[in-house]
Amino acid sequence: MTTITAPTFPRLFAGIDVGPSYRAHLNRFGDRPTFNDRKAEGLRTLHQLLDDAPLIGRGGGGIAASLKLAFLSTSTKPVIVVNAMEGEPASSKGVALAMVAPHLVLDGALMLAEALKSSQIIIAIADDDTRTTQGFQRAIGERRESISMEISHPPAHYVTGEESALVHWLDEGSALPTFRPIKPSFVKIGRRAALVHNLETLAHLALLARFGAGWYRSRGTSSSPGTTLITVSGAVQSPSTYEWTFGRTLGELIEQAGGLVEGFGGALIGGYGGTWVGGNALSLPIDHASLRSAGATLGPGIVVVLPKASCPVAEVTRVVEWMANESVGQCGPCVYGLPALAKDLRTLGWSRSTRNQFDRLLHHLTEVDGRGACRHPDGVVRLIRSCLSVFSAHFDEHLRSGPCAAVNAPTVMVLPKNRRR
Amino acid sequence: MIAVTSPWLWYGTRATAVVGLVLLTASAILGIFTNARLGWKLWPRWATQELHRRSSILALVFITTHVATTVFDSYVPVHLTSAVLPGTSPYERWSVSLGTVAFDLLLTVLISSLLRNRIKIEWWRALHYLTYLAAPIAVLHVILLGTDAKKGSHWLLLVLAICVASAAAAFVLRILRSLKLRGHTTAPPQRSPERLRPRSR
Amino acid sequence: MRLVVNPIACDAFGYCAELAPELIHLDEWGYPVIDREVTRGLLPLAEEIVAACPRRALSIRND
Repeated sequence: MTTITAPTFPRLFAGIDVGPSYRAHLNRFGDRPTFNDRKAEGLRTLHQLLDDAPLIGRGGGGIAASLKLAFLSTSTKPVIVVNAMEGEPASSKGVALAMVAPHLVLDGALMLAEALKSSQIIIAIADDDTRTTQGFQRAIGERRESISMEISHPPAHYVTGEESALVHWLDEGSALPTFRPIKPSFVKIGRRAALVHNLETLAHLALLARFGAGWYRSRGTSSSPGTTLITVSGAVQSPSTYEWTFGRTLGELIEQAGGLVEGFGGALIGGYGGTWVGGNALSLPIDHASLRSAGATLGPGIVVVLPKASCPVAEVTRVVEWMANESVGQCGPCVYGLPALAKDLRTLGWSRSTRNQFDRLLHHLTEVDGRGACRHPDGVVRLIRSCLSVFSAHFDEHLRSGPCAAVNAPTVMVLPKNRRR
Repeated sequence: MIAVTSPWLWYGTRATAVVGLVLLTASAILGIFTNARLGWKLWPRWATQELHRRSSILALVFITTHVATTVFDSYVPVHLTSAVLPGTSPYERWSVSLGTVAFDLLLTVLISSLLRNRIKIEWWRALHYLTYLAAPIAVLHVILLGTDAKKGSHWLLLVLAICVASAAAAFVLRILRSLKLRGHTTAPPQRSPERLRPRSR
Repeated sequence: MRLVVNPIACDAFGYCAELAPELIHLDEWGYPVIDREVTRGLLPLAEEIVAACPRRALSIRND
């Protein structure tokens, strides 16, 4: 029996060399602590741990994990939902966790379930994501647990990972977001409450519970403690999912990903509903506070690097066109607004356009912002607005002298075929 | 039950029936126009719905009066139970029953609409479709029992024909329009939400 | 108090903006945009358009 030591770095990926088996997991991290005493003492201890860390959810909403627990406390025995949907095309952290550390994810879910006296864990994986499915199937097969763990397959789609859509699917078999005017809101599957966490959040919880809040805080910054998974793609030598210590800079992250391919032209942070940062952002520290002051959020941990020669107008257009096709067609402002925005951008990018056409884009942005049931249209608005402000010089150039030389250069964005049924 | 009979009750029954028929037709057409978003530049669209709502209430007032005078008039042995329970009238059992069924259906639609803000909208919508069931039954009731029609004074049949033809025209118009619009005012949405329902569960 | 549109239920009938232009305007696709809070004086009008909505997509919220 090897002695258990708290990993310094990497944390989630500490077992990367020994493989994802349960035995290797136990050798490296030891048994999971239990919070299942008869009284609510265990739940209180767990809650305290989440507060002390504090553990911020890794799903993109930036919601403290303890807040979700506090919101639930009146109800008993919720269904624990592990959100491994990975609707963001530029993210691969779900596969990474399934391949490297599925047992950390399961541990986190099991500890929550035990503390809350739940009897059911559902792992939601997109129906086309065979690798993540295999990883978790294997891991569940190795376990002997009294709590039921099952995999569910919502249709792969950008919005099906959104909490209300996910729960709607598990509840009624319709993977569409629902209208929830008050947030955070209470989500239910049948009569039972549902507690939805991103799979990475649960993996962090597994380590936090073992090694304590002090250990958790020993890396990262004071407001963003710990490490986080970031998928880096675009113009870097080795695009992949990396574990990253909060507070280190974007430049260092790009170094980690093998360095730049063709110079640095800016980056998209936080996914396709995220924000752009410009060519001067290499020294930007990646943590919640620094990103917020740059007007950005990390989202579910995504960085797409733009090469220096690329045309940001063209890149944002392609992403917006893709996002428009990902609208599930429930809300008018999204159904009509996103294609309108995409069309405005295409005009700006590929033809000689007037100030009027530019103003039309600005007008459409205000028309669409905040008017969907889910945040899908808001994400697109944020994406375009940040692009306008970060690359305003480039937009001006397009207005002044028409399409730039790079508009038809191959894109660095991952744009899967929009799925139609 | 006191035995009351007067030709005025009989006239009342017939008159309210005809007015009720015309109002119901108007209400149905207005309802179809509401749903199809038919409107004109100088005609606010909400007014169509408002007229639909008001005409349907008025129609039901006339139909209720028609039922009440029938029951009240002891010349024909139709009792209070027959006003709601089909098949209980000794007089013209089948044709009176048709009227009873149509009355029940329309009453259900009216009550569900009055409770519209308190019940699930899907329920309201489903119950509203009962109108399409009530309409042919009511038409049959008029043909079979409309005494004027029987006696060969064809003006009632003419009124009925106009009502049926105009309602049918509105219905066809609505179907054509919905094929064009698919539920939205400007252009059909790119994709329908149905797409995301899973193939199997 | 404010008016809230359920954008999933809303089908762009546009009655709300016809009846209460002081509270709502329509975007270029015919969907309602809430322009202001519901004051005490505007409450009866707000209630009227809530009742008039053919899709029952409007509600008044106290917050």
